[in-house]
Amino acid sequence: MDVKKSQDGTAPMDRSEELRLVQKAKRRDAEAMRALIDAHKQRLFAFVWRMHRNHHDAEEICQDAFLKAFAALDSFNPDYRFSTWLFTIAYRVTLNTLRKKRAVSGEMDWTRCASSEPDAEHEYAASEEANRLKEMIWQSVDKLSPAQRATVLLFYKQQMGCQEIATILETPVATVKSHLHRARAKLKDLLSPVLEEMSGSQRILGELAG
Amino acid sequence: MNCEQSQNLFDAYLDNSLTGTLATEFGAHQLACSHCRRDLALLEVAGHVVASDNEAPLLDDEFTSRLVECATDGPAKRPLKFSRALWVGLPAAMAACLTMIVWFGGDDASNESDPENSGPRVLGVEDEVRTNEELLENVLEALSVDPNNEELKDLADKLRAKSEKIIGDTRDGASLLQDYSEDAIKELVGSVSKKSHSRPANSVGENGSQDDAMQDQKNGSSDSRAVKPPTEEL
Repeated sequence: MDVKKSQDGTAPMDRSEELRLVQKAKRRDAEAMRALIDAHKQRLFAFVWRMHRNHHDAEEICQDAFLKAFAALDSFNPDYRFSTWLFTIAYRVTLNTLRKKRAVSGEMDWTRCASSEPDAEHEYAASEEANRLKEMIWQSVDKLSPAQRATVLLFYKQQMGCQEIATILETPVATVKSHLHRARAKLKDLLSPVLEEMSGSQRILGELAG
Repeated sequence: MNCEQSQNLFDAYLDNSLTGTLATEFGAHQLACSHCRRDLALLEVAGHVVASDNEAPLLDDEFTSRLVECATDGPAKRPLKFSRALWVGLPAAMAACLTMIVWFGGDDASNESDPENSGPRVLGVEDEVRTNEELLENVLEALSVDPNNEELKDLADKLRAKSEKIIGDTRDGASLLQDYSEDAIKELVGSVSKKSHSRPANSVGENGSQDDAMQDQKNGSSDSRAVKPPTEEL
């Protein structure tokens, strides 16, 4: 598994290049802004969409996050990655939106069904039971608290370390580890009974593990 | 190592921070305990499913352009999502259509005034409709003079149909009038005007001003009811 490759296939931006673009974006350079947006938009959107499960809300949150980030570039700390800063803003906006909507989970976005295309992951998860377990895994992730869900998504999907996640969630590293621990425990509790009901659980797990 | 101890080490194992003797003991327990092995595999699979997630829809190409435009224009301007733009834009478009209908359907007097000073001229399409209405008005006027003229009747029907279609779909408006030969309409209406001068005054019609209008037309008056090519109005 290529863990460093982002969803849309773009490679992570070089640090010095990122800083150069940030400096130019501070001067309202449109091309620099465009490059920063293109480099991060899909990763950010994937994260927010998984938090929200609603395309339009997720898109709006991403817009807000980028605009807030650009508006406050003067306060950007170059010790951090631009992506960390961006995710921090997006997470904050996401939490506020979730609180306002009082819809922490369960809001299904059917657009994702139409956008799904066959690929390697779908091919190896071809069996009906494996697909069912995969669906149950996402349903279980949706049942996690926003902080736990964000931690899981940032840790596994975005391949971030606990320190970076702590920065984004604006919590101590120990809290992030606690979120991760509790999230895993909850996932295990939710998924174990599902797996018990399935015949050939080892085979199913083997299929999903690739 | 028992199952409870093993499960307490799941996090360390999954985070690749389990080393040394503890890692060896943990591995030995996994080999011996199918329950722990299955739970651990389940968590590994859950992590893998999340990591390999690619079901999030892709953002459209316009996303970047909208953001860049907004960010460079300043914080006051905020990009509209397509769906929201639809909600804002649709009522605006409907209001514009209503304005057009009221404009062309409700007040004949507006057609008689100077087009440059008679009110808002929002769109080129609107001007096309207006010209179409004027053409129809002139043809109907000519038809009242010569009610048995089949060619005029046919032309009036076509113009009515075109007017309705233009209002129904404004995007077609710009091209519809080009289907007509304005010179032919001029010639037709002009020939009826000439006829009207050879008729007795009391046969002009219900509107006594019609003779004046036809006379103005004959004399090349700038009255807005006279047939003019649409381009003059644009």
